[in-house]
Amino acid sequence: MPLNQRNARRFVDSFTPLISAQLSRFRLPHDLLQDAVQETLVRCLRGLKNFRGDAQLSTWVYRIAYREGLRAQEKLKRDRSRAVSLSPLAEPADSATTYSPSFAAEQQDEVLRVRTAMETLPNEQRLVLGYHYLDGLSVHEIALLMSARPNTVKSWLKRGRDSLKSTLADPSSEDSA
Amino acid sequence: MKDLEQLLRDPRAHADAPSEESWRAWSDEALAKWNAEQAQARQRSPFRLVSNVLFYAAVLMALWMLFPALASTAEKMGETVGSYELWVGMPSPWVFAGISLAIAVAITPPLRQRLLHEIG
Repeated sequence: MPLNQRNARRFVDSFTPLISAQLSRFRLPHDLLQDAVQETLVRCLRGLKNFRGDAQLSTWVYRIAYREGLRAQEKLKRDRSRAVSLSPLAEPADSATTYSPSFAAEQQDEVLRVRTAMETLPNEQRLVLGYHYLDGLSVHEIALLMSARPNTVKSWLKRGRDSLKSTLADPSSEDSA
Repeated sequence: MKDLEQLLRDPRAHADAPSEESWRAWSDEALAKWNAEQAQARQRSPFRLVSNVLFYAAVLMALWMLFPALASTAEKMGETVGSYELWVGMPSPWVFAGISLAIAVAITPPLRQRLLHEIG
């Protein structure tokens, strides 16, 4: 079924907040985040006419956004390695969007302490914690989304939680993160 | 300290989501890009028509050659099972049918995409 202007607008208005929130957890700088969100939206609009309803629309959108997030992270890695080779003093691109550990400690806010601790987690663990606790996706849905086995997802979740617990229990490890 | 799982359900514990102003601007740009693609695709539609006509002509041609090929093969198998003539006699109609199909696939992007989609 061809997608008309009105439906395209409705789709974009409904899903952009979800896509933006999901991709913001990939720790991308603002310009790359913008590109990733737009590319995800365009890919979704292109693919909507072939969407067969095998999965929920939101799961399908999540999957496209996840792939786009990984692609943007790869690009960021390439750009950073190039920048580092040019200038050893180059700042990390996402420094503007992250909280420093000392800032979090000053705030004495539990949520910000969790957030600071989250920054130290490996990519997969951080992402599955977001998908599970924030987006409410089940282990099975996350496994489908990330092309991983459900047991692997469970293990990422457990390791992520354990790592956060130990970091939060020991404030000195937070400061050194 | 609150329960960790409860804290993880707080969006602030994960990342700063872009402001509504930002994501609205991004979605407008994405929509504009998609609209431009659609307009370009409409301009290309005459070429798509030609390619579709060529595709169905090639498929018909392949089918037209396939049935006599099948018939002659069945006939030959009945007459000379396992003989050298069977192998020599078989290829030409089959090869033509195969070439026609290959051309059909090669020259028609819609079919190629559909096949790749099915395979992928």
